[in-house]
Amino acid sequence: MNQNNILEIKNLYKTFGVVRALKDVSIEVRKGEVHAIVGENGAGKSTLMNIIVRVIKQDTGKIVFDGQEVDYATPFNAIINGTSIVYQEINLIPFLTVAENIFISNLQKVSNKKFINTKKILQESRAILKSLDFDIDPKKLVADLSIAQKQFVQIARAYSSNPKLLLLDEPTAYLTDVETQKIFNVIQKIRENNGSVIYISHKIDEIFKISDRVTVLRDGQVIKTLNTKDTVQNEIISLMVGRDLENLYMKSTFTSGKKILEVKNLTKKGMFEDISFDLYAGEILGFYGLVGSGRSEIAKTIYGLIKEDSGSIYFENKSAKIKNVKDAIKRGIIYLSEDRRNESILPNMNIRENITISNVGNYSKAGFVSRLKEAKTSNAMVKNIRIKTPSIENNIMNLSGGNQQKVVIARSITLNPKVLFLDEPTHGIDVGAKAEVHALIKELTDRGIGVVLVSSDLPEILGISTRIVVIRLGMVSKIFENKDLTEEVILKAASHLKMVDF
Amino acid sequence: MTEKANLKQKNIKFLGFLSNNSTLVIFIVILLIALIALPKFRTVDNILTVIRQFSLITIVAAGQAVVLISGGFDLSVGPIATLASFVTAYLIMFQHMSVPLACIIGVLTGAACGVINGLLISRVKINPLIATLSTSLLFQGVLLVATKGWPISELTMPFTFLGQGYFLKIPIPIYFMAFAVIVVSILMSKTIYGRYVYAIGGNERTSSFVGINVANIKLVSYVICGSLAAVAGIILTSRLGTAQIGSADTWSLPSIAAAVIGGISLAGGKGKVFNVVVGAALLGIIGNILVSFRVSSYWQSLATGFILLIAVSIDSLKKN
Repeated sequence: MNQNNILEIKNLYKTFGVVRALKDVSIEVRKGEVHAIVGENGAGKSTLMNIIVRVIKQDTGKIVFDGQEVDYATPFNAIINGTSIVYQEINLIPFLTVAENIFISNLQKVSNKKFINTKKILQESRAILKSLDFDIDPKKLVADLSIAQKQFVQIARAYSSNPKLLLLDEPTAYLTDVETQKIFNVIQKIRENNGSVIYISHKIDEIFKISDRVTVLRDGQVIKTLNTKDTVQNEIISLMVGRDLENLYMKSTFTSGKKILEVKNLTKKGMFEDISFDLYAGEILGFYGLVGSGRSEIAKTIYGLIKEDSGSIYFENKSAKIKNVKDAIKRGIIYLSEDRRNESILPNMNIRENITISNVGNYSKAGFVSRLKEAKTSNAMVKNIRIKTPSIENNIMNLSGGNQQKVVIARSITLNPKVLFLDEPTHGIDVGAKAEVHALIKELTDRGIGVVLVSSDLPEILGISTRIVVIRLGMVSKIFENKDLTEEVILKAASHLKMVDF
Repeated sequence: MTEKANLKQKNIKFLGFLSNNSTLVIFIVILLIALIALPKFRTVDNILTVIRQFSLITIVAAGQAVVLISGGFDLSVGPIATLASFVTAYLIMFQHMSVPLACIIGVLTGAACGVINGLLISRVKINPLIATLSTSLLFQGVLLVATKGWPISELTMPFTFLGQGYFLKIPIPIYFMAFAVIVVSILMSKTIYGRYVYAIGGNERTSSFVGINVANIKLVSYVICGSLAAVAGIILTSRLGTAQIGSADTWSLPSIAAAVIGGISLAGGKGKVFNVVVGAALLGIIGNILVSFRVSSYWQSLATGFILLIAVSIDSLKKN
């Protein structure tokens, strides 16, 4: 056991049924180090994290933490011993306050006897939030926070237990660049106090910004551990996928087309104001804005989920009053939500049923659904966009996040969309699947579909959009042609602060 | 070496089958116990009698299953059944209406009650527990006011054929049960409507996002439930020859119990409608066994509750 290491994992094996999730995994994390772990979906990253915090137990292999071999009985023991984890998914209690959520595990410690000392909890959480530069009112209910704020609260909770090792699993999935920088500051703080961080992310550029070393996992095995400064993006990506990926992003080849959507002065009190933009067939229109700017709400309104207060929508040059979602789908306007789990996926149904749900009528006769017809289309889709599954009758919850997203995209394609709103379509998805999704989007635009890409991933938006609409505080800040555009220019247009010069 | 592995595979598959069909397994075990322990049980007559006994609750449970799968539940099915039976009895006895027409209007009464439940839950958005609890009192109240507590007795043929008659030596109620269960099963497993109900039970938010008219689907589910409850209530009255206050009022919880024991999840989105037969049969047979052993009827509730707890526990343990 090396005294400089906070964590040593030796020869870990883990099998689920017939799936070998981890094979002979050995990793070391030094004290005061930010150690990144990267890999495609299904590579074993989450399994490894869950073993470290004892959510699950390894089949064989040793874990040595701060000089001692550990065999935790429960995850709580791992937390007490100095290991904390923050997941990509929000695990907060929505109807308790921020302060209560932060101190949920040790309400006793900050209180006397049996009664919760609300004042003290508020004080201490205010202090923690301030020290982490998170501008959140600890009295607020978690349910009233934006998803980015919820993520900040999760991090504050993990930080409050003073962990020697903090595991972050896709912490910036819901965050924009400004917010991501705050997370980096927190990581830096931990590093300065000789604490360690294990950082999992699909965003390779973040790995280069924040990590000291990076370990690449593929198919449950450690491929290589590298010093971050001694490697480049392409090397990491080829280690991850085991093959060379050309060109992460291919610029759109769109030159001109007919106008399919025209939005004029769309307004909804409390969400967005005076929104006007055009969408042409075959283009990818990027929608960029900080979380909370109203981009998703605009898309949802055009999709019929929200009723606008005023403004007009012209679809294929004719005035359109979209009454509800069914109406929008009939016209060919489709929206793919950013909140996959709660707004796109039917968790009790299989792949076939998830693909066909929006237009079951097309596979039916006299109200009776033909499974054969459904299967034909679904199998074709699974093959076409390479959804990893043994069968279409497999429940969708058994699939990885990236493959679930592919199923939802398959659903959208079968609806023959004319306008497709994609809200954060690649968030939480590994590089390989991300490229496939982008290629799919490209294919769709080649067929004349107009795509609106709502994304907080600047490299992604810059990489494939033809034009970019920047939304700030519910209003259109600026519409750019994607020519010689830089991240700074877009950020400036999107920020709330009045800056003299950037 | 491979022979051992093959055997192990077969064992795993068998255990898997057992756990997935735990209710069916329990049912077969109890059935075997009944057949072995009670020689009286082994006659065809007795078996048909037992089936007829639980046939009515099965009809109600089939309707309840639709509502449960959509994520709700209906506590007013009992009072709906009683109310509908009175409407039918009244039309036959005092308006000299033909039996088929009177029955149809009775079922429509059940449907109307279902509309009230459905509107309260899907449009006014009242929680199903409170809504159906309230309407259950409402329907009971309406009946009491209208009848002042008096029954409608001396109903005769042809009406009583529904509950007391036989066809091909099988009691008529059993045909109704088979018909109801088969129709609802097909509706739920093979039609667009059924697909939508499962979707809503799985995730209501997602369902509205993919274009399903959640409010309408829910409304229809309560109409189906109310209608089937009415059918059962009318057959009960036909069997007794009298429409009596409170006769079917206690059906609400047992109908949910039968559905849940049959594998319909209370959370919604899961379960095969056909299995409510298993749930109702299990309850029916246990009841019959208790009666055969001259156990006081007070123990029936205990037995029902106990079995329900076991079924729900198995379901919950499996999930976690």
